[in-house]
Amino acid sequence: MKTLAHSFFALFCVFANSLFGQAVGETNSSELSPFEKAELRRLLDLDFLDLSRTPVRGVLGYEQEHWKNPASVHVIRPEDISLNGHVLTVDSFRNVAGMYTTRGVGYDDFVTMRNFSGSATEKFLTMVDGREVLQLMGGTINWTTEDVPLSILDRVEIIRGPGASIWGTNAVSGVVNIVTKHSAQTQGDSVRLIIEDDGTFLGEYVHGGQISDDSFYRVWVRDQEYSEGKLISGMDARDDGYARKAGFRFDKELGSDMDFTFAGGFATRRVDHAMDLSSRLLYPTDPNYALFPNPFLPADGMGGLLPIASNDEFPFIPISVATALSLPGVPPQSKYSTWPAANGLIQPIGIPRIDHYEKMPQDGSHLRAKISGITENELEWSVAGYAEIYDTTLGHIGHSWERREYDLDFRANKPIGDFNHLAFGASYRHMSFDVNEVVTSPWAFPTVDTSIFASTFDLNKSLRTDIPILEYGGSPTKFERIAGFIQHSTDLSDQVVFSFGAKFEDSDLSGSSIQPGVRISYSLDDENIFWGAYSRANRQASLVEQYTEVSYARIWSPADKNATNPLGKEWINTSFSGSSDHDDEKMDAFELGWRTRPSDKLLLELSLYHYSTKDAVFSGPPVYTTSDVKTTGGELTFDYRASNSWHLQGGYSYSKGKKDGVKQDDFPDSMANLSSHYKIRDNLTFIQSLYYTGDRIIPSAYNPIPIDDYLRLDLGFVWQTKDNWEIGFFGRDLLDPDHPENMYNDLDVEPGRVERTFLLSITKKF
Amino acid sequence: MLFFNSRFRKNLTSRRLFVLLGFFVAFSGMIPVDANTSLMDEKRRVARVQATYLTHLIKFTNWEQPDLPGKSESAKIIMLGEDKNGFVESFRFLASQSNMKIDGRDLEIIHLKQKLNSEAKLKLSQKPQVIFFLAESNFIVSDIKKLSPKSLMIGNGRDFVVEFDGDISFTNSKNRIRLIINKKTFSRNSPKLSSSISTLRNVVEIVR
Repeated sequence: MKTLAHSFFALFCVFANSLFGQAVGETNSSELSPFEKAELRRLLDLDFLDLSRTPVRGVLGYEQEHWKNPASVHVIRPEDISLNGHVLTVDSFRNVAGMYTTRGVGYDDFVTMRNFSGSATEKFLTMVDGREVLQLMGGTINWTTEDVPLSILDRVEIIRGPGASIWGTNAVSGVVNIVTKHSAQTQGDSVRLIIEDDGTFLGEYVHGGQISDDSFYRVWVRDQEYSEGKLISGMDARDDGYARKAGFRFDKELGSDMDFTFAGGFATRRVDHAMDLSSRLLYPTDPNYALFPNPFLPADGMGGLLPIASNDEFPFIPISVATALSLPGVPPQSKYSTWPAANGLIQPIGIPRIDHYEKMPQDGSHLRAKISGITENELEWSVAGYAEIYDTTLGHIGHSWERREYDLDFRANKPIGDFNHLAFGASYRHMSFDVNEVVTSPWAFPTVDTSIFASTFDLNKSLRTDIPILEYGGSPTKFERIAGFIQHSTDLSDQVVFSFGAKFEDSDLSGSSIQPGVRISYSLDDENIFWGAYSRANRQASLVEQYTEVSYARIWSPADKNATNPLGKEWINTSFSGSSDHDDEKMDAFELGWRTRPSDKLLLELSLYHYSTKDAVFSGPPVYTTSDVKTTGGELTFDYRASNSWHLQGGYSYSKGKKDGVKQDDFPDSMANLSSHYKIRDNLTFIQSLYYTGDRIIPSAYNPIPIDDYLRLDLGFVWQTKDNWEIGFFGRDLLDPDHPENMYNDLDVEPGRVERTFLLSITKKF
Repeated sequence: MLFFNSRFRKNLTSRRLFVLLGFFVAFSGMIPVDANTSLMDEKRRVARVQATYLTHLIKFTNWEQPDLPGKSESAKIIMLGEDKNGFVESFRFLASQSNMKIDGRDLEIIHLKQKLNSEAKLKLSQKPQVIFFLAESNFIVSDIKKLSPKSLMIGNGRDFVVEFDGDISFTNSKNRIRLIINKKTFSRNSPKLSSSISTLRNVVEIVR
């Protein structure tokens, strides 16, 4: 694969050289190129305020005109969400090639970008108005908590490919940048209601007002009620609950070229979540296993008992199975009397299903203040401060934490002469945690802590009833991070833009790093732009991956207690620890892109990438492992306005990944999406959306779940009246009554059913 | 953690050198570069933003009936001067995309390039609703005002409003396009600009 990467890169260099060697064309013409026409269409949607913020000279990075951007950027506008019948912003990611968006139970959304995650850990950076929203404890994003009302959403920029040289650590697979509107643009009142046939409800209310000529505000509230769905077995998913949010924003012009923004939000969510206990109490099946030999089994084999792990390296079966088989030496019920009773069987392996539900409350609040301006010498700058408190309890695991975070961020950019542009910035973060763990009720029975026994050889001292599933212990709880970046861009001609830069970071979590990036774009003519990029990006291992001891199972020692087997007839805790030695995951990323507009009605974009990642962390019993992962793939997207009344968009993505040389099957090789918006009348639009997702396997230590490929068809109508009513009716997943998509592997028992739903949306602005 | 006593890990590995070398190989094909054409890109971007502003400004302007053509006739927008940056075409495109009308009337967009000849005088005397002076216009504002005193006059640069008593002008400062608007444009009866624009302090400077 290394050879492939080198060949790929060398090919790009030769290709670029041959292109750059061509004569540079003159574009001095009153004629408009297709790209320019498309850009004009975009500008037409901007109001005076947005126009006044449109830079004249190309700005570095991802803020410049989309069609000149040397990166795979997909911009989602509010109408893309409402017209496609999406409820949350995250739903609309299904329309972006390269994004793998799935649902577990009703409130769990998972997003993976460009084939890089077999688990729930997000390996891309998500920001809402500049605030990083990645949960450092588990490396996840709560998409419900971070969502905003549709009427205040300005856009979502999805930048596929690493952008570490500007955005920094965790911008590994890409960046999701959610931007809300200036409060002057949300004056008046607006209401959005969505009701689904299963009872799920979403309501949003936004009010905006003006305090003076130069100061504006808005306040908003939102309520989302989840109805209960089903798991694939047909059992109740117990995923009903609610998520409620409120927020505000105040904007003031401090001068003709200086703005002040103060904003904040509060979110609370109340849901239950399951812990799969089916294979957490184990019986050894290997008579010769060094740690837990089973003298009751034939010495020359496992007595016909199959290990629960698919790789044969985990020679145990659930105690419930051992008991049912009346195997010798199984523990009496009094030895684990707190364990819940089984309720049915887990398919397809047929072992007794044992689960445990607990509350999973989450509360988060944040404040954001920002001053931005532009100086006489065209230095654009901003200083932003963020404060956040996030309090969550994973009741099913018995793990809770409160995070307090303070960020200070400075960014600036400045044209230098006519052909150069410099961007730079610095940031500081302080984060502290208050971590608590409790023993959930199923685990409250005496169990040997082997680390105590190893030091005391005293069984009584080693028997504990307070071993939590996740034990953070005395691990560090305060972290600081200092970072800076600089990026220089130069227009070598009208055709060629070259930019290079690096981000420098030093943090308590992962030490020091330099993350360089280089991009080059070449406009072959008025209709074709090529780009190439290399960058190195890092991702920090999460705190759980670094510092937490995971007690994932308890193993019964079936032999009688004696001098040589002092732990006989006892439950023995089995755990694995995170490692603070986990280095940052380091990705070398190569990308080639081609964007073409053969006419102003058609846009085609092709991007090819190869990622090579060192020390990628993969979680799951029996250990956290680091692997070298190589991913190769591409995306082909199009946007076609067949007529004034018909708009088609779509994309296809293909990727394949190898972990330590072995092909990954936890990510679909192929995905495709196609949406059609046809205006039957000026105020009535018929929408068709089709999504294809290839098959894959949800990884698991004992019960990997195959997910068949699925085709989703959504149909809908949106009626927009002159007095600002918008009424939409959608049928979703019309080809299939239900299908599974995802779950937290090794934590959930089984995926939820993503069911066919009918949805009514009503929006009114007044 | 301290930034100053930390040690950055090994940085310039052979692989990165390989990568950098590769990009310089790619670059070598670009030399020499035609830097003069780079400014054209910026000028065309300015033209697109200005054309969009103009589209909005017309929507926010009200004309009294005597200053409009008959119901069945087209309203007229005249562009004066050479256009190398695609402004006229940009505006034509935006007008067609937005199906722009003035008080229900279709638009006729006329581009007069060089001289105030008889044809130009004829067009200007037909009460155009908007006259736009392109950046490279040689037309004299006072001459045009005499020919068409009731048109909305839009041009470039601060002097267009401050010195020549035009109605609206575009300025390019601090990497942004802003508007300078003559105060009388809000107070007169026709053509009258909506007062809501005057509240956008970051966008608009009101003078005179």
